[in-house]
Amino acid sequence: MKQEYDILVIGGGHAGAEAAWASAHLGASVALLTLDLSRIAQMSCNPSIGGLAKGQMVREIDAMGGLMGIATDNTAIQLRMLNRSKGPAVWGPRSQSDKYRYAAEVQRLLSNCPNLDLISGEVVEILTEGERPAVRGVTLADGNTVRCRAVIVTTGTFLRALMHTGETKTEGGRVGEGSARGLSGCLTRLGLELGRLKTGTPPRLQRDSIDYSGLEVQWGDEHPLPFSYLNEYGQAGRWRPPLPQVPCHLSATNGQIHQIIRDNLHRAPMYSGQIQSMGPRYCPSIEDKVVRFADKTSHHVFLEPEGLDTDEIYCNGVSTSLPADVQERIVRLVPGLERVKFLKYGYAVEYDMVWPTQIRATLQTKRIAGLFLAGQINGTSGYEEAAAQGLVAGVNAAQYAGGKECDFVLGRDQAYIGVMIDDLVTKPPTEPYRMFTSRAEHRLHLRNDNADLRLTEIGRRMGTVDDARWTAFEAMRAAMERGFDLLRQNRMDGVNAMEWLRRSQTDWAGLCTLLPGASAVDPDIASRIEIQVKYEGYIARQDRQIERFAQLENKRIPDGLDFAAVTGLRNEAKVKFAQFTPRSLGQALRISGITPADVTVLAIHMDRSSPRNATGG
Amino acid sequence: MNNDDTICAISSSAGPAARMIVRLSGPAARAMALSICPDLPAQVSARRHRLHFCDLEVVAWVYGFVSPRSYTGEEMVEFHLPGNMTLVQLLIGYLQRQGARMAEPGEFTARAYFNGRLDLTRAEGVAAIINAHGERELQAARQLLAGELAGRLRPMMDRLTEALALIEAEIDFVDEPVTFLARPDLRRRLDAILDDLRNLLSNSRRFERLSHQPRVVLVGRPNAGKSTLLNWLAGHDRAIVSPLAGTTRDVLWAEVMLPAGSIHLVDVAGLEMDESPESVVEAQMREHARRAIAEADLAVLVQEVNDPRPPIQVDRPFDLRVDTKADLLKAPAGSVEDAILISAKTGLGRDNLIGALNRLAFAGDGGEARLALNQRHVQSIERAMDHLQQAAGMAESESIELLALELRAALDHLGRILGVVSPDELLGEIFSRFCIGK
Repeated sequence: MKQEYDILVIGGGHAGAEAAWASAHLGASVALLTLDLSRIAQMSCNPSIGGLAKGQMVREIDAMGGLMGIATDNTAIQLRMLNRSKGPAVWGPRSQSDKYRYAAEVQRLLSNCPNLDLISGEVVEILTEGERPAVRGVTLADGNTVRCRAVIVTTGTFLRALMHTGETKTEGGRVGEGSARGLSGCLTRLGLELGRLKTGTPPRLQRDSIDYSGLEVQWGDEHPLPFSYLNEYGQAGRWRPPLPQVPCHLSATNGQIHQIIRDNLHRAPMYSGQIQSMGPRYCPSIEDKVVRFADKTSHHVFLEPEGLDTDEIYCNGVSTSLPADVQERIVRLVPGLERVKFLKYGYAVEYDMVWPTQIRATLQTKRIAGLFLAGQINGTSGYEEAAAQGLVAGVNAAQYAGGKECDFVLGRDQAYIGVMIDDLVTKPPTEPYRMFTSRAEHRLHLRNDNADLRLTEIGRRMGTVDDARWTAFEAMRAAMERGFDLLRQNRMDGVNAMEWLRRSQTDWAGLCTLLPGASAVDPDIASRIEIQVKYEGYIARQDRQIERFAQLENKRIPDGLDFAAVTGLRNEAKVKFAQFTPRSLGQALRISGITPADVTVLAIHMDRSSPRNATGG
Repeated sequence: MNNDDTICAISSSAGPAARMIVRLSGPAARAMALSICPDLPAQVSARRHRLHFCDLEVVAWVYGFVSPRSYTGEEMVEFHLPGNMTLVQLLIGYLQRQGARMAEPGEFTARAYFNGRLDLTRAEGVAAIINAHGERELQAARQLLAGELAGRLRPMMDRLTEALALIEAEIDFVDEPVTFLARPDLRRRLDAILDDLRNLLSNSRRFERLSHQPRVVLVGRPNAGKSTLLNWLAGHDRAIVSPLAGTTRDVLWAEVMLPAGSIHLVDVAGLEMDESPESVVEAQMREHARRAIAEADLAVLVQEVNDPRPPIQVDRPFDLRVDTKADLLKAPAGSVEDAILISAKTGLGRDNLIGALNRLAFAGDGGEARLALNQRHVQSIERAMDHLQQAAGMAESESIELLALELRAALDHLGRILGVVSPDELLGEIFSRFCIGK
């Protein structure tokens, strides 16, 4: 361990790993500090990566040189493309991962990463200096001090973490692990305002104690697509997951179980008042499901293997914080689980988060220069959401540490990552924030198939895309261009081949029977072209619909604008603007409680106050 | 628009009234008011005061409002003067010399809006009231203001939100054991919303039409008494009246108050359709007249009661015939059936005529005010309907993401009237109805 680094990353979860990886690749000297090195990139909850919108986000991370896609491909034990029956814009890749191999794979990648040290230790204090405070270093629990220019805090659920199983409360962010107690106090001392959120996890069951005979079996796709573009370029659908693929099993709850849950609600921390903080609506505990949807007599239970060599089964669908004895009673009434052995009980965990109104879209805190926050600390939930923020924070911290202005901000029209961060800084989450495709107004453009076309060039400019990826990407793009040339240069049924392919009843296979050159195009490339051609018209229309919004988006609000001095602005708007300090008029409009009239008044003020400001963006 | 100066205007509706209101708003409003009304209280007040301006002493009600507790949110004073236009013009002239600027149309409302005192729908309602002619229109405008549009449109928007939420749920929660919305059901829902939007449009009047003054044109031979009739109805001299034929050389008009609203009454230049025009000027006049007749909502034939010639012919049928100069009538049987017999000299037939004009000009409205929509509302609703039609057409297709795109666009267009539905609200809708999440 050196005495000085450019950047210290506190926490080794999915945000921390991605942040360290990105900033080290940009040439910064980086140390990742975490309580337990063997837990880096641990999957604390579901042994799964991707899904709808989340899968697109993993593709975006990969397109910019991140590590989540590669690690997922290398450790997947089941791969499925969700929504395959619907249009390609809403396809979402999902994997079951071997959670131990996944963590080991990320640890391997990180330990081979130049400029990066992995250090076991607990940070108790972030040191700052100056009138407008800037990060100078950290103090560890053992009393040592490490100097640095930037800190990225990615502490996940570990800030003042408290686990609940029935009446039992245990300090810690995961079973058998501690809690980062000191850091919360430190963040408060630095002037940051903290909130508290809750999430939960189901029991882990022993594989061999389950009777699979009567259960529905769910396999993955026969010809799965990889997450990483590196495994896609030039492979023409020939990629095969390196690990053997395994199935999941499906069972269900019943009325008897629901009755026991109702009878024991007074012992559930969410209902007894023991937990006050807000949990996610999209991931309800089994007690929530039974109470809120009393008319439903059954809920799905997915039995998902946590790895090839482990006998842990993730009991998906039964997230709970009921007491251990009640958990045993209800789970053993699920068909197939009559004699099941518990390896871990389900629990709810409460943890501190920092209200994301206090960060910019670069994920740097507004108050302290050089202090960046990424992942669950910003109120999100999910590995993918965390990793995406890690990448953004890592790049911006490296820019900051290198003395440059941080400016890595993705637009809502460029990436789900951009949608997420914009949402976070304009609407403080009331529950852990998870990505959904419906959050993206540019959904038809933010697809699983084109994340590299959207983002790899940006990654290349920033320096996170290495030569090997860039070369493969350029070759793919050139091949697509040749495919488009073929369409432009040929006519079918009296129209340009591109127009022909745009029709609703046509496809590439049909093209191949009519146009000799078409079958020579690599199937992956052909599929990309076809998707792009089919959506182009709609995307153009969508863009026009959002045009008005884009004009506002480009109108930058000058830094340090005194909102209190804006004449005609409602008091509520003054307070909100001062609190959120929006970057652009578009962002200002998305702040909750802000009306178009407020933004018009602000725009008038900006136009009037000085010509210098008007050209600021 | 500049919000730093002080503006004034007559804020009561145009036309004769017992009271006329001059409104003054802006930073200097109070100081200006104090210069003619030194005992104006410092707090919000409504009192009779003696005003002194232009060597006049006028007793008037004065309403003093204190920022931000005023309509515009600014310092504001209203003078409720006796209904005398000269008096009002003198006051406004005085205030202008004190530095006040004449308000542009709707500027008080705009200031109220920018000061956060009004939302968009209400602001538009107020703007409509300012421009409304007649009682029915005021009533329609007031309904808009009271949120009737919101009251009718909101349930449709809620149903559309629900349909979109169910579609979005199907996209984002693919692993759920829930059938969110069967396609025939979706189709039925969209068709029902479309029907309701269509009804909303057809049962509403366009505000533009509502606030359009009916144009009534008087047609008759020279010296048939059209100008006299115009002056008689308008209550003041707009046309120079002489016993010589062909005195009226141009299109003359007056605003005439009828019980249901005001009409724009036009007296066209003397027409002698049989003769070819003698000069270019006369040819032009005749062209003007023809256009005025074509564009009018109603054409009234004016004929001297003793004129034995057949009525003058124009390119449209007449809606009403008026026989003038009844005082010159020799035999009572000379009048044509259905014609209204009048005499400006004796006052004969005035009530009859006003009643007939009122009926004709405002016929078909049933006298009952309907919801008034302005151009912006109509356009938003029509665009929303276009997208809904698209969506209904693809309700059974597999391209659910394109269906969602159309529904979203439809919802956004309605959102321009009532406020946009955010993705968070959509998700809230999903989570409140379905047990989502493993």
